[in-house]
Amino acid sequence: MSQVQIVRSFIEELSKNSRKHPDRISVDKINGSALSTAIGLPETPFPKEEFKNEEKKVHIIAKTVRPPVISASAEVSTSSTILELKESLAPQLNVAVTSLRLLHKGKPLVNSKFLADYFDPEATEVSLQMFLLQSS
Amino acid sequence: MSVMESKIKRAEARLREDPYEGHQMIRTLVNRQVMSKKYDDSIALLYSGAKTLFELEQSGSAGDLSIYLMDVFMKASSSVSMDNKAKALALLGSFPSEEGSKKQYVKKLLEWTNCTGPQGDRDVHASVGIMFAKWGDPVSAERHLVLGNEKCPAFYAQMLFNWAHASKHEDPALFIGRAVLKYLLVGSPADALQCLTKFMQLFERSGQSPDETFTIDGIRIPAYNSYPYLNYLHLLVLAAYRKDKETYISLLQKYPKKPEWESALAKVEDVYFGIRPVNPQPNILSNLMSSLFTNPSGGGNAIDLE
Repeated sequence: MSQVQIVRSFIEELSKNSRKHPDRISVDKINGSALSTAIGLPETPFPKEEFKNEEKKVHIIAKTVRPPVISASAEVSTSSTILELKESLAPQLNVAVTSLRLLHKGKPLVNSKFLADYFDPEATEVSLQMFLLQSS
Repeated sequence: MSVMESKIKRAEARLREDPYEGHQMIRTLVNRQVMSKKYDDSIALLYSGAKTLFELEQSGSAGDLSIYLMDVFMKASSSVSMDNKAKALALLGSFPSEEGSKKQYVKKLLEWTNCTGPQGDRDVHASVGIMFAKWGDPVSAERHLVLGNEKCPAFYAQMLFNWAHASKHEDPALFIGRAVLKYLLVGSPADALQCLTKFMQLFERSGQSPDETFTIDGIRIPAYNSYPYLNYLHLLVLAAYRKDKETYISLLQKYPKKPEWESALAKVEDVYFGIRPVNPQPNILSNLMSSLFTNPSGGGNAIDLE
């Protein structure tokens, strides 16, 4: 019996039953020792150079929505945090980092997230909406 | 400009003139601030100083200030707010692989964020996992990727695909099987399937077209005559989702267990299919003779190697 035939017969068998296990169990039910279960390593050494070369830059243009329209731009790595992006933009605008709010397609950007979490990894230029909060 | 902002600017300038002097200056300033419980000021100074030192490729000193920042977060009982987390993750991303203090920083970061939940913060686990992969330590990366956020299955798949692609002769299932088993072990067949699907997309794009494809649960399953254990992994996840013991036992007959997967599969069998390992009946006389005449060896059960 070929592999394809074996898979076909198993799929037919499995299709007769519905799913019983949830997609994910709640975090407090995770068995800590399960995380440490040994799985034999491949012989091939891990190619760490592949990841080092994957750093990409993106050109960000941020503009205020309401007039007077003010803009700032920065070239940053996609692995930078939103906080780091704000740290690049704030000096151009002469404002504190905490006064800056950035949105992408109407969605607020969270400081602890990364640019790669919000933008297409292949994008080379991204436009953002910017709000400058009044400092008290 | 506030007093603190001007202190930060002066410290940055000193760091650029003389990184060693600047580092010592920041430490001295922060020590005083911490003693006076001015934690916000010390956090700002440490973060700015560490970032500048990383830019100047003074990673030893940068690592020292980053670790101090973690200590201040814990001393001040600082909440794992978005801003504090952002600072911590920005510094994490700056550590080069050759910097010796990176693991200590990770340890403190995890200690600080452990309070957010039973397994800590998912975003932090994701970032730590990704950084371990970049530092060339996939085994450490895996432990965090399985506890990480929604972007981890795809990253984990890419990591394992890169590794498999570097191999000339090893079965690709040995690589992606690691993720499938680990996700099943933490009770997440959805992530196991997502990771496996992403791996198979990369595998196909590399020129490995399947011999046939099937659909079940709205999911596309590629089947390969030349890669039986890639097929097995799909069937294993589907059987686990259904807690289908009979089908699993049939699977075992068609796909003998890989020795690398024995320990993990024993636990998967228990959790999903109710199959428990059979303990041999103790031979009391044999055990007594053995203990009198030989040194006791290590236990025969799976040992944590990590």
